[in-house]
Amino acid sequence: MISLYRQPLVVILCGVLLWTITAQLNHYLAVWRLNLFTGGLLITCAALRFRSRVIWRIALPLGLWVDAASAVPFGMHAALFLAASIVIFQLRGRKPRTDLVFGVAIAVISNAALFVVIAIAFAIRGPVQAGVVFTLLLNLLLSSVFVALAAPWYFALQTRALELAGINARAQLGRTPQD
Amino acid sequence: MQLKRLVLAKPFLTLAICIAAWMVLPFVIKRAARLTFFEFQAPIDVSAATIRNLQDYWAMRTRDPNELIEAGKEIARLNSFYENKIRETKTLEAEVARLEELLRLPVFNTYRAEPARVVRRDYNAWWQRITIRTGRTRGITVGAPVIFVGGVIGRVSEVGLYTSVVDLISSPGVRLSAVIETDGDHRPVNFQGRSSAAFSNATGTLEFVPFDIYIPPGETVRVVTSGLGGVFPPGLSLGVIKKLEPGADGLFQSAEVSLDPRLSAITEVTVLVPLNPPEPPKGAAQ
Repeated sequence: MISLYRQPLVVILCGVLLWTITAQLNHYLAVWRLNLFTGGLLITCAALRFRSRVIWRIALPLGLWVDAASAVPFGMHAALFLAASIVIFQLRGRKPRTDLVFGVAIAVISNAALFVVIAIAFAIRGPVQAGVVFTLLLNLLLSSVFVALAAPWYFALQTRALELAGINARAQLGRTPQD
Repeated sequence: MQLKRLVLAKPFLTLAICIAAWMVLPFVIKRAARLTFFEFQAPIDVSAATIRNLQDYWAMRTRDPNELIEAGKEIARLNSFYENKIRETKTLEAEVARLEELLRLPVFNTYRAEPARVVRRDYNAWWQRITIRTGRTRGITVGAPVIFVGGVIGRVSEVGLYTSVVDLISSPGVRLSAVIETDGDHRPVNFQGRSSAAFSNATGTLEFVPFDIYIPPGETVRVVTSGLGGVFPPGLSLGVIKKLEPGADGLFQSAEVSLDPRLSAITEVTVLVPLNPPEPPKGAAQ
């Protein structure tokens, strides 16, 4: 029997590691005023593998973690992560969810979708300066490339971490009689 | 069919209910949750910065000793220069204090300088902020001005126990009162940060500049803090302007302020902690 919180905790710790790496890369990219966003990658693996309740236990704290480090209303990332997770969860039944290429594609798409939603939310709040659109497109391109490259490593990291925590592959997939 | 649709919509309904519940949640709870997450992030940021410092240290260890001797000599020269400057400043401060007492002028807020290292820079299209390695334990307060060698860098927006977040003056949300350094003109104008394109220098916008202020072509004029509002001391450099343009309303001029290029790669800052924080007005809510 899998402990209620061991599985989410392991995935959240992996998420914190990814957030730390992204934050450090952003620290160096700040010299050129560039920024990476990896929100989609943080939740994709969990949304593709786990049961609905476990996804909530992962997406909510990870969203709040990202919120605490951003100048956005507290809870915005959490709500967006949960919404993205639900959409992926609804779609995953019809697709080969254990396939790596599919996982990477979902990570890139969900990351881009979250990026665009956040950009729209900020654009509504105030006037957008001329150079911002170029910066946004550049950031989106850079983030997508980074997510595509980092996704296989991040999925493998989560799998290994879960195995180390004593959670087997079948339990990771959260297969239920309904699946 | 309808049952299947209901099953599909159930998670979205749950999310909508959760968001509605979150929106009516008291602000205090949200603030406490944010601070909790912020405090958990602090050790990660500080550890990463320490690793970077170690990296720099070991990179410097590979330097040629002759280079280090030369650098040491240069620092000794600078030290002697700054010692003289400190003596001059002390004399001037004593003179200012004497004149203030003599003329019974109001005394400006005094500040304690708290140097801090930058542990994380986070610049994107919507906000530009840095996390610094000093916090509540060193008396840092929200709103405290932050400066660096090139002038004003921003103000403290969040304070944790050991780290603080500073909103840079290039952030679109930051507004402050400024003065254009022209002959004898001390009329305040409005400075606001603005998002800059990638690979370009940080900029700001100057608004409500009176029409009689003129900048000769080819000249650059400094923009400094006015001291109004009591947050920033007067005379701190914000940036430079090259030309003024008529504003959209036709009543005032506006200008693009070029901020210091070192703002992008900042590593050390100084927080000015007010020694006599302004008292809240009588009757204000506690």
